Amino acid sequence: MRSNKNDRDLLSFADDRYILEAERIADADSLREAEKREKRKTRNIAFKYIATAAACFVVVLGLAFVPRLPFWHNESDVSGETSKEESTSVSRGEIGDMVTPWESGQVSLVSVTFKPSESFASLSLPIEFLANTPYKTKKLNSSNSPFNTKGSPEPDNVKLSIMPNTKISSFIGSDLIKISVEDGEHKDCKGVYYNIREDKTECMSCEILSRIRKSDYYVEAYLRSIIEECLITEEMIYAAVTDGVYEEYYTLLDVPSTREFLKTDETPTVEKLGLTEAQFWRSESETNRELLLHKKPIVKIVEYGYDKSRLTFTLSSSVGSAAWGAFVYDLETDTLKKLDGETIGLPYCTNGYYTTTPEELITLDLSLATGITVSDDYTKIIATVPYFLNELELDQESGTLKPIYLAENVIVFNVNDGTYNALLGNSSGYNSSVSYPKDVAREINGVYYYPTTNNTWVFHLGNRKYELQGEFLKLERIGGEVYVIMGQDGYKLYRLGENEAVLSELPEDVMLYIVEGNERIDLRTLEKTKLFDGEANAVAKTTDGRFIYLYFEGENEIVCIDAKYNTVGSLPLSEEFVEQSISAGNVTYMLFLNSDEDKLLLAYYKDGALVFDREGYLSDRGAHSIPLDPEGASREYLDENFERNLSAVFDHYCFEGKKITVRQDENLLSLAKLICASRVDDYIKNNGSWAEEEIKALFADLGEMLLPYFEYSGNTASVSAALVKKLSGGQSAGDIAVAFEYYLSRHLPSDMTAEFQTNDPIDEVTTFITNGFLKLIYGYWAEVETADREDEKRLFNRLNMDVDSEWMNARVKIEPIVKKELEELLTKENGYCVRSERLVEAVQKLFPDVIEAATGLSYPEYVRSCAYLDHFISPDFFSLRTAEDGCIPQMSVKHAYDKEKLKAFLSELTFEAGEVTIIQKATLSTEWDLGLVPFSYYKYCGNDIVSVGRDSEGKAYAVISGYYAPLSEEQYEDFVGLINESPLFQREKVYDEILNEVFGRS
Amino acid sequence: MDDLSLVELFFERDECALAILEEKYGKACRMIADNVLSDTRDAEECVNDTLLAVWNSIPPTRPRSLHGFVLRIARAKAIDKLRYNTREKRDCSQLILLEEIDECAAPTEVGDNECKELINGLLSSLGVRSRVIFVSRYFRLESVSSIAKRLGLSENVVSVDLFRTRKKLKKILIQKGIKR
Repeated sequence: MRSNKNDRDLLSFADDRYILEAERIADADSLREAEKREKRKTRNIAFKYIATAAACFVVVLGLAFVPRLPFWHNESDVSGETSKEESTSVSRGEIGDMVTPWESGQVSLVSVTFKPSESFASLSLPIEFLANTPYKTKKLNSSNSPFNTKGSPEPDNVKLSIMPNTKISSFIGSDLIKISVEDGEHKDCKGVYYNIREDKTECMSCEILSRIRKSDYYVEAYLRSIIEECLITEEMIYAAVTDGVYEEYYTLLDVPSTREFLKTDETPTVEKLGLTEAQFWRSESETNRELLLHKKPIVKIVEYGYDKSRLTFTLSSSVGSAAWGAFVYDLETDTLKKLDGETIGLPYCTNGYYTTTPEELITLDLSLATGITVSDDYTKIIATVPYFLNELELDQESGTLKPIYLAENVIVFNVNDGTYNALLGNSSGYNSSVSYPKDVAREINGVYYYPTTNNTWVFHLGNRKYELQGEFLKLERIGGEVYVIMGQDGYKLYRLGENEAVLSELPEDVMLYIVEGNERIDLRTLEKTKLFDGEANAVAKTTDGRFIYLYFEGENEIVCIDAKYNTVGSLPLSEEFVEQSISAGNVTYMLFLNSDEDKLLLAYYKDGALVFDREGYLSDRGAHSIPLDPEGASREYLDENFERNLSAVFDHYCFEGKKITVRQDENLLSLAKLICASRVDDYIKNNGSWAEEEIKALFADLGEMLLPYFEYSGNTASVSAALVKKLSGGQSAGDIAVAFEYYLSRHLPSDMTAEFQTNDPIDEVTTFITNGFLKLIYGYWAEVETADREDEKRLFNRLNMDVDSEWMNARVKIEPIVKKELEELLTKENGYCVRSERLVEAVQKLFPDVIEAATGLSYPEYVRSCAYLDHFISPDFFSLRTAEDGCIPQMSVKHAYDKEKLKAFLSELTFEAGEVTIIQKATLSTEWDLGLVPFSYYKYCGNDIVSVGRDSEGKAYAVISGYYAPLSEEQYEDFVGLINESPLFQREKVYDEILNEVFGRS
Repeated sequence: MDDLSLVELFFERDECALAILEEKYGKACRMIADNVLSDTRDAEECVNDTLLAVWNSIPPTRPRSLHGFVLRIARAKAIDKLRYNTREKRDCSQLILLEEIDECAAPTEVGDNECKELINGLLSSLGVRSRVIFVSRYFRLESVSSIAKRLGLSENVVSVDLFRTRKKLKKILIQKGIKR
């Protein structure tokens, strides 16, 4: 209904800050920046680490900090105060702004006298000076004065540690003097203190950083954070933190009590903290900054920029001592130099990280780099980078300069000695006839190769360069010669000779295969051999054209077929792998990370994650078995750039989208991010639009990975994604989402909500799938016609759809598609079962009473049973489970379901304590229990999962792989404690105890 | 010239203030008026009305943020003009905008303070993106396509975002018993 036009327009009451914010955020870049800032604010978890570390420092320091801030802050507290107005012509306001003598350097510390027994100290020369300065006199006369001048100086008691030329900045309490050090270790640190009691110089910033590093804290949100400055008082630590893009902000730690940051919802400003700028001092020093980088596995370009002619890289790595530094690539001379701060004039920090962006450099988004790969032996970085920079073009819309590149070059860095080689040489000008890289350059067997702008493939072997037509299939080094197989009217084998690539015959006694799909082709005979029957659980294509097929058989057995050898188990996973897999329990997930780049195979176990090289052996090149610890096992494999790009999408996805249960299981999130990473890369390359195939691929992976979290599996997700596309027709998923959200909000029962949670490109589709698909079915199939036509009209007006005709047309168009899709989902062949009328009915209606009718369970019981459904019938089942608030039934069509198992389960399952009937032991220990959203404590135990938690109604339960029972409050508390306290791998006792006590068996 | 000095000029009744104001904020006002009215002459008239209104308001008003103050007036003028125009001609997109603005309105009996509390409470609860989109649309009265283009988002994303924020606002109004 239209409002009265005289109603009060609320937006006219909006605060100026919001209006001006909208003015200020004028483009996508500034929005992104603002979102980044916002995100940082919310990442308060990270602060805890810093706070803890800082607090540790305080404890170790063992100092009794006086709560008073530097005394110019607090004149009124001082007894015997001489008013400023009286003392000199200096006014109060001027005093506030006055540069104190020790700040200005007028006063140098000449000597310090300290007598521990009486806890006083004297400053000889300053005292004289200060005594003549009214502003200071009152301080020195004060009982709160940091230095007591009444005692007799005892020079012999003092060992003066402060270096010459040290200036006093301020006094902190009675034991610390804040000083500025002009030489030595903390030369440029501003947070340096002379500890009078212990007679030593300390830098709090450095100490905190050091402790963070020693403790191996890994603070995701502060990957590049720098604690610039700290002010520690008895009550608080005020920490100035600088992030990776050098935006500075402050935060506040509460030291003695909670040791957590107090304010995370907004950036505390100096004013808000009740401090003056001088009191909340901050370091302007660039060189004081350090990056908290954690075990970076490979070298990365962490930042680069340009100033028309120079491209500046910053590299960092934990591999190789010389693998980091700042480089300048001169685009005009096509040369690369490792930066020396003095010669180039750019700051270059001795800790190895390039820590500042010169003003004249424009920081580019890393997505501009075509790609960065690392050689097999991790000694080379192959960076495909913009080469001929045509010019900078002013983007009229954004008002920013954007680079226009004509071509790319390939730079190979040797991480061991810092040398480099530009594969395309020092060409002086762009030449359109030259084949420049079109995609990321890679290396295999010492040969660098890439597809080119002229639709050829170029191979660099030593100083030689070969250009071949066709599709690159495989590269092999046989007997010292390098052979390349190209797909070109069949297969052609080239040998990379002295001067050119020559067509070659396959050397005798050499077998070479090409794999196409499920067939291995003998290059000599062109004989085709079928590789395997059925579908592999996982397939990865390596850069040398090999396929590796993985089958999961049984609980611990993994069969690997390598197409190169066509053997089952002969290339196979190493014994170590098998041992690990057995000792660690079942392989829950197995992934090929960056499979296109042939990097790593990562197997994710319940109890850990292992990283293997592509041969299936545990990698010894920086990749290794990593335990699942709270710090995030696989985190070190995260591509930080991806992480950065991904954070906007995936963090939201994980932490806000309640479809994914948020546990403090960073490993899983990390893994999920890893899976997403390559997809996001594609996403970026496609200028922010997802191709349908990408969506399918993403969901296939995510579905597999996050099976217990999502209501769909790979198959279903991709089907649904396709469905979205089909449904959308001329409209995008977003419009459809709006339409259904609106439509369904009118049709759903009052206890159900129709909300698509986010509208990020990924989320738009996923939420549509998770919520929308269901509701779509419901919305169209439920026989509810409220027909608020006015509202519909309004909605479709907004969607530019003609109300009367198109709406009906849309319904007519969509309905059969929905029906057909559902039919297809329910009638999968392959021996899986097909449908159950009762469940189809439930799906159609999705009402609690229908669920009850279909399952024989009350709705709450049904909700609690969902985990069982997953567990017992997985992976072939059809389930309805809880959504975020536990009251929205969600449908998940994972594959199909085993009707008999389900029936048996449903008929036998009861919910009385001690009466749980064991249907069968699970064969797959997935994290199914997390499907039951509220369950909060879980631990692995052998091959089973012990889960103790509460359901949406607050009732406590214990669940162990299919065994289920309510718990008393006392039991619940006990078990939570037991589970939490038991070391990993040693929880059998807990397991047995719970089994005994709750389930009455041992 | 900074805003404080400019306000002082208004207080001194120095007509130079108008020229400076026009130079400083005229573009932003014009943009709002253009967004709403889609007619250059109407927009220009609206800007002139805004300048006059500022002249008449200062003094005695001493706005805390001159920028926000001017934009607020420009917006009000533009909406008034839009309502006037739409009596005679019915432009679908403008009607939709008006409807949406009306959706973000409270009954006349709601006091200023409550209105401030309501809208600022909502805005502070939003993420920065949603907030910017919402303010751009309903304060700056920018079209969905323009917001989308400017912020590098799809129109769908913007539409969905706006829809949700309006829904949130509606929910708040209902919870407060202001709307049913």
